[in-house]
Amino acid sequence: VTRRSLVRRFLLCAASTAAGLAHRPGWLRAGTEPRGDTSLDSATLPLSATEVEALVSFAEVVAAGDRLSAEARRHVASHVAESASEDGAQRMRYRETAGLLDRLAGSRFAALAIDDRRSIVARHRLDRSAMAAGERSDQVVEGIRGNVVPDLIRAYWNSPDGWAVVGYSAFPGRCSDLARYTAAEPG
Amino acid sequence: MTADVCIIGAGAAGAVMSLELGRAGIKTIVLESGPRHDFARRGEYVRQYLQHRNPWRSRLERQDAFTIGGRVAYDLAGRRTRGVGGSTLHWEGYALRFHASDFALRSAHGIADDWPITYDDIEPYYARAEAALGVAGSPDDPFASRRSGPFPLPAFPFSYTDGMFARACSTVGIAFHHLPQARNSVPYGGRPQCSACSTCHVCPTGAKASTDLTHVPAAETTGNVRVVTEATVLRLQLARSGEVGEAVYARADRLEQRVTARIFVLAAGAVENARLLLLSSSRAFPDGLANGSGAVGKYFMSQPSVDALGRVEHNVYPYRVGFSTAMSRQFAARANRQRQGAFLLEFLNSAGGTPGELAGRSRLTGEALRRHVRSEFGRRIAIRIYSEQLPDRANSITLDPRFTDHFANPVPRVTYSPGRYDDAALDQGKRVARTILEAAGATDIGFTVMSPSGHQIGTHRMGSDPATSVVDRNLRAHDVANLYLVGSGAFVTSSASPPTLTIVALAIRAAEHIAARLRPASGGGEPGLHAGRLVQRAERLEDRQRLLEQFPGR
Repeated sequence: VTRRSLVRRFLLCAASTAAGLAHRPGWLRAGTEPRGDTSLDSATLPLSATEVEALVSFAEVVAAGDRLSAEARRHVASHVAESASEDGAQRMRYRETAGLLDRLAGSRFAALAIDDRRSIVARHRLDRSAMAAGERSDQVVEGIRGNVVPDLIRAYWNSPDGWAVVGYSAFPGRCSDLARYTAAEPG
Repeated sequence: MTADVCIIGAGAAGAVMSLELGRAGIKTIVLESGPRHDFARRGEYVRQYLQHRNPWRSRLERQDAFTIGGRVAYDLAGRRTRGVGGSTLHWEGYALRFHASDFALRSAHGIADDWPITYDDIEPYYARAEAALGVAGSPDDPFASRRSGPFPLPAFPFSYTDGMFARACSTVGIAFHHLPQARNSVPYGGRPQCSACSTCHVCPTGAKASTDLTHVPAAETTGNVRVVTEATVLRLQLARSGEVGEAVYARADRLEQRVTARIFVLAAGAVENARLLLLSSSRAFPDGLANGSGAVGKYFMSQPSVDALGRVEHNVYPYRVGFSTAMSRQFAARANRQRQGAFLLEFLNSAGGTPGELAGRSRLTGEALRRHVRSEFGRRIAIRIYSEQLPDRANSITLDPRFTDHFANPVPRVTYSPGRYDDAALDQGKRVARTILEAAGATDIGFTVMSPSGHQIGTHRMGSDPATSVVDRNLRAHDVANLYLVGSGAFVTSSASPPTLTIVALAIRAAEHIAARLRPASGGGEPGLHAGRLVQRAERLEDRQRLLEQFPGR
């Protein structure tokens, strides 16, 4: 490294700072990005346990209308985690939903009693039955009603609890007695 | 690498041939473009399948790319599978023999073309195929062609819904019987009895036959068969003799490697077989290897299908088994097939949506949603209609040079349009299905839009005349003496029945032919090209003689 090249690098750095960070060459940009860029984190980081918990608690209100069994909670949580890991856009929608629910609750949405959660969902018209034809609303709320709510509903109804509602203890993916399909279900 | 025989593809046809050849002491290399799907991961695959993701999908980008031509979009995605086992990994498991009349449409009805073999020729191989796959069935189909022996396994019992359909069919005078399937109704072949997991596209127990379980391990155990996975064949190259000299393949890194062999067998499915022949053009075969007839890629068929659905008052308990147990073949071998195709009725054991689907489609939530799901679940019954499709030269697999796959080869272009003959069969099928549904007490009867089946048929048709067909009665290419093209691509007509059992039967027959050729009883060597042609000519004369005996008036 010569003195001339050092001077040139300093001048380039100064000019880049004046012109804005985006114009800096890659070798200068490395290691100097501001830390804690939240937009980058929310797009790439996996959902936290708190966020998944908020979504499962939301599913209790919109999908089941009641508390979920431990098995159904695990099923919905696993569905949310898998979908989030495979689809970045879905991860963002989940994250926005969890964030909004906590803001509306004023604390952790998941920590509220189910009746309080129901009130919040109804007051802010977050479930899809609340949406009037042609109604326009905030983009995040639309994403919740149009995507996250149906997704959580399907996840819950595909769980053992969902099948139990129609009287099944064995269902696609859970093997059973081969003769069962030949007769009506007992009861 | 060098072998006596190089087989390209380890699916229904390729895996079966590898076992037959291995047992005959013939050194065989199988090049499979997909992976070896570890059976221990079936549980994980089931989870993916239940989330509507395809666990069998190719991992290489654009490996399964294709483009669409024709009036109807024939979507190849999810309709074929790469990997050891091929499409038997995800098939329904329905193992029906074709009807004798399916082999002789021209002679019997004056349409399409006859196969160069008859039902009697293939019957012993059907029996061997049923034994190899473990087919469960009952001899209660009054329209079935002659059988030389019983089904290896007892039939699966009729379902609760079948009871409703059976009563309805009896009322309106339509035959109703068991649907034969390659699935264990009792333990068989070292595999367990089916335990009704209802995810048959990914069978978690191995009760459904797939050649990764039924054939490949046994083939490898002979010590004569080597299966090379994730090895995609790019083209076949001719030697100076005019025969195929080597198969050029590559892995994900795109580095070309070669296999030499005395005989090559294309067993990659009707689409990829045709595509590989077209990709293997040369000075000797400017329009594609073995394509002197111009028929390579032509006459593509796939049975058009429609579901007829009706609403019933009481729960019929769907989704407790993943396959159908009953059918009617009354219309699959019609007396008059001149103007209208044959069709088959499959009585579905599941229709109308799972709780997840019903809830997902509803706009309700909470307790109202719970009541809705409870009252709607199980209130639909359905019949699936599969119609025969006539061979039409305009329906084809060609190369689309505008798009290339992972290996920079042009992707296949699928041109598919059912014709008037096929539509007429579906229309008649809908009328029959409506009659049965009404007799079963169903209301709100409706039909889905036409969708082609997952079976790809035609593209290198069998025949006696090299001017109009690609392979002979033993599936050997007319134009290249050491090349065999196996699978449903060799079918002359589609039948209304699923093709897999016929694919397997023909593969066993072709393997037997190759084994006899490579290991003649007299101890002589492999017949050369000239001798091969003499054999083919003799076989053609034999064909003519058989047809004259069968249809003396024609």
